[in-house]
Amino acid sequence: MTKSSGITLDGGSRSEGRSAGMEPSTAQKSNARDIKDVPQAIRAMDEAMAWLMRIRDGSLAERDLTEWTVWYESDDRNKRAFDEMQKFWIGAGALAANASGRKRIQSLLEEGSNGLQAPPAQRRAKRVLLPLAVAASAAIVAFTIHALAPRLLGAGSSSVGYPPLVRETLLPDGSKVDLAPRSVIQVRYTPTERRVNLRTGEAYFSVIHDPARPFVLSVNDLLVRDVGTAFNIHDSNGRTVVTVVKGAIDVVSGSTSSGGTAKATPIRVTAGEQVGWDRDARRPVLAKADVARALAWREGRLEYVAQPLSSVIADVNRYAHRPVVVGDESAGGILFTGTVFTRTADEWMQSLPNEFPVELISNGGASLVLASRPAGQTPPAP
Amino acid sequence: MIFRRPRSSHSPPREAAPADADQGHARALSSLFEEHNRTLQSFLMARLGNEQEAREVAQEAYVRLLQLHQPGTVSFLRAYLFKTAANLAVDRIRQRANRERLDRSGPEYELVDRASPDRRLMAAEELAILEQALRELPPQYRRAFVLHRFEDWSTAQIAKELCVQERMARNYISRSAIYCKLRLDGVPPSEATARVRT
Repeated sequence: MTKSSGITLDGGSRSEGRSAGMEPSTAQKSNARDIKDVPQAIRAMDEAMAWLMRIRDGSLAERDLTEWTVWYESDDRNKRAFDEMQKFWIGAGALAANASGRKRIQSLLEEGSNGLQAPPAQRRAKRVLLPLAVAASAAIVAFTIHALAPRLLGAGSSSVGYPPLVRETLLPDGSKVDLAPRSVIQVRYTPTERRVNLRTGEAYFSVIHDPARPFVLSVNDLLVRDVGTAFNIHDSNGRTVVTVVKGAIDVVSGSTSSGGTAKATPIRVTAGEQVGWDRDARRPVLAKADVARALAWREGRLEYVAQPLSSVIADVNRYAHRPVVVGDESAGGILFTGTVFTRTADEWMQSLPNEFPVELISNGGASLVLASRPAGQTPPAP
Repeated sequence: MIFRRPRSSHSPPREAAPADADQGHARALSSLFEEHNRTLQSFLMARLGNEQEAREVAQEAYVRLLQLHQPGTVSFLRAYLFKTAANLAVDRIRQRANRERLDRSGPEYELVDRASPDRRLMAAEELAILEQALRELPPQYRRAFVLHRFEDWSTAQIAKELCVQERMARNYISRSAIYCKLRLDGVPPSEATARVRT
C-alpha cells in the first residue's frame, strides 16, 4: 500500500506552544515575520485541533483542562486558532444538513475506496498530498482496499439510499472486485503478475483474463489462479470457500511461503462448483455450488442451510454495528437454516434468544456475548 | 458584571481576607469572569457545539461558583469554574442523548448538528469549497475526517477501520481539518499542502 503520505505528525507539543507564544524580542522586518509566522500558525492550528478533538470526545481530565486554559490564554494566536478551528468544525456540519448533503458525504466516503480508479485528469492534478497518480503509472502497483464497517443508522432512518453494504471497486487492470463490509484485500500488480491477498472477509472478483499476466489470489495459504473467471471468495471462522461463477480457476493449497516443497497439484474448479477448505483440513474439498446462495450477500442477503451459528454470526458480524461474540460451544454449534438480511443484521442478532435456547449478554463493551440459556428459563419478553 | 454572594454563607475565605468577605468573593468572581470568560465560552462551544447551550452552561457555572460556601484562592476558583462547567456540559450531553434515544428509539445516538444555530453553519459557496477541498485530500485523510465529523465515529474506531494507530487517525483528522480551513481561507491547494506538510 502506498503509505507514503509525506505528512508527518508534528511533534510540536503543548509546552512548545506556550513558549512559542512569546514574541521574539528582536525587531523584525514585517515580511520576514510573515514567512516565519506560517509554521507558527499551522502549529497553533494543529494544537488547536488536538485540543478540540479531546474536548469534544470528553477525554479531558481535570488537569488537562487546566493545561488547556493555560494554552489558550497564553497566546492570542492560540486563541484565534482554536476559535477558528472550532468555528470551522461547527460550520462544516452544514454539509450533512440535508438529504443531498448525506449523499455528498456518502460519495466522499466512496471515493476513498476507489483510490486507484483513474481519476479525471483535472482531479488527478489536484490530488497533491498523496501522489496516487504517480503510483498508478508506475510498473508496480500496491495498495490495500478496506471495506468500511456499516455506518451507524439512526433507527428512524429508512435504508433507502443508505450506504451500499457492498463496495464495488475497479482494479487497475479493469478487473472488478465487490467487497463485503469489514473485508480487506491487498493488491499488488507487477508487470508479470496480478497478485491479490484477501486478508479477511468476503469478496467477489470478476477478472479480465490475461495469460501473460496471471491473476493470483491468496487467502491464508490457499492460492487461487484464474483461468478467465468470475468467482466469489468467502473467508470466515476458519473456513475458506471459493465459488466459481464463470470460467474456471485452479486452486493450490499448502504453504505458499515454504518455496516449492511438497507442491500439491492444483484442483481445477469450474463454473457452478465450489471448493471449501477448513484451516485444519489437509486439502480443499470440491463440491457442487449453489451459486445464487453464495452470491446473495451482494444483494443484501446471507443464506444458510444447516450452518452452525458460530459461522453464521461470524458473517453477520461484518454487517452489524454491535458484533456478537459466541461465548460457548453449544450455543455456537446450533444449526441455522434461513436468511439474514444484512441491513437488519443487528435486529437479527437481537432476535436469537426468541428462536434458540440462547441469551445475549452485554459485556459492558462494544460487543454482546451469545451464551446458552440455562434449561427451564424462558426467553426474555421482547 | 457584579456577583453577589448569598447571605447564608458564614465561613471566612481562605485568601488574605478583605474586611468584607462577601465583597471579596464577588470581586474575585468578577475578575475571574473578566479574565476567563472568553476561555470558558470557547471551551463550552467546543464541548457542546452550540452557542445557546454554551451560554446557559456558563451562566449556571457562575451561579454555582457564587453559591460556594468556602471560596478559595483565585486559582482554586478558576479550576472550580471550569470543572463545574465541564460537569454541567456532560449533563447536557447526556440529556441530549436521552432525548435522542427517545426520539429514535434506537440503540445508538449521535451528537448531531441539529443543535447548531444556522448562522454558525457554512453557506453554500463555502460548502462547495469544503467539498472540493475534501476531494483533494488523500483517501485515508478524507475518510478519517468525514467519518469523524459527519458519522461521529470515534478516533479509536477510525484507527481500527483504517488499520492505523489512533494517533495517526487523529493526525489524519487534524491535518484534513487544517487543510480544508486553509482552502476555505483562499489558500490554493499547492500552498495549503505545503503548509500542512511542515
